Amino acid sequence: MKRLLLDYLEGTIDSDMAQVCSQHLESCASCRDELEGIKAVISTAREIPAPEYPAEFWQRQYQKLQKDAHHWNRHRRFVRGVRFGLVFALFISFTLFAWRIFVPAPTDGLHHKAGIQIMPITLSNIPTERTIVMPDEDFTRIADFASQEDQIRILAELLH
Amino acid sequence: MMSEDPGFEKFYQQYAAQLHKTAYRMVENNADAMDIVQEAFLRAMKGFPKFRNESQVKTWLYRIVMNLCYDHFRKRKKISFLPDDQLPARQTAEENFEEKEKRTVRVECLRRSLDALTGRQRAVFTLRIYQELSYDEISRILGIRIGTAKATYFQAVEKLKTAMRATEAKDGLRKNEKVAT
Repeated sequence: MKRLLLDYLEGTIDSDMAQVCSQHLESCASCRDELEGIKAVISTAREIPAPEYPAEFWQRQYQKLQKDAHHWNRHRRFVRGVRFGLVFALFISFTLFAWRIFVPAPTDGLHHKAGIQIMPITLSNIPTERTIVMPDEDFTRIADFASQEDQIRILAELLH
Repeated sequence: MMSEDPGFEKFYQQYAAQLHKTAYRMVENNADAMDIVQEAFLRAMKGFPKFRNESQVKTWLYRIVMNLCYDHFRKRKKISFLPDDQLPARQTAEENFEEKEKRTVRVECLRRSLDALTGRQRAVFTLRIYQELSYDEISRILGIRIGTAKATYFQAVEKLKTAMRATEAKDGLRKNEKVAT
């Protein structure tokens, strides 16, 4: 019944029901008291004041909002720039890393002629210096004492 | 820039005051209410071009304001049911309790009782009483069902009625005690 009284007060029930409510209220002191209580809450709540401002005030507030929005946009652009920079740096780092790991070192004709293989670099085989497999046992240690240019020069002479 | 959209300015002029009052009824602090309104419009700027239907924008703006009010409550940890004697006393009410007319005292009492409502109850009550929105609009703003909005409003009114009656009874007792002494 309490719930119905609120609907009755708001006029959200159909006319037949409203009539039933009216008749009931005439004879029921408890419901009348309840209805008065609800009415008192609503009317008292409407008396609570709220600050009022003229249109000019809101015009000024709008200008302030525009300034805030400008700062906010600049800040957003800055954050977006930093984020893009970080992603780009990460991408470049990853690409270089992947290049170093997965792409085999280039070979040239001279190495092939000498039967030299430059071992491909893999994840499980990252050399600290170039590993050269020589065709002849006599020359296996050449890499230990000669620079790369010297090795190539020596091998070219041998082949010649 | 989005904020230079004349449609947005029109909306600001149309709804800022209304939203400020709603925020004020929720947080009961003018400066906080003003901050909430500005923040709501700042957030609204980004998505504004997507909305061309006025009622959609209105509902959306109210929703932003209500969410900011909830955030405000969370920060202040204000939403908690307190027994009447533990509610914070308002200076003006305590100072001039005897001098004020009965109506003023009732207003003050209701204000105090509003603090005892949950966030949702207060939101529904505010939107229904002060903005006179329909239950359908309220349900869309708060993202709840129409039935839930109605039930919440009823609960809020009941809670306020009980609190007001309790205060009135206490007030009556106090007066009787004073007369007796």
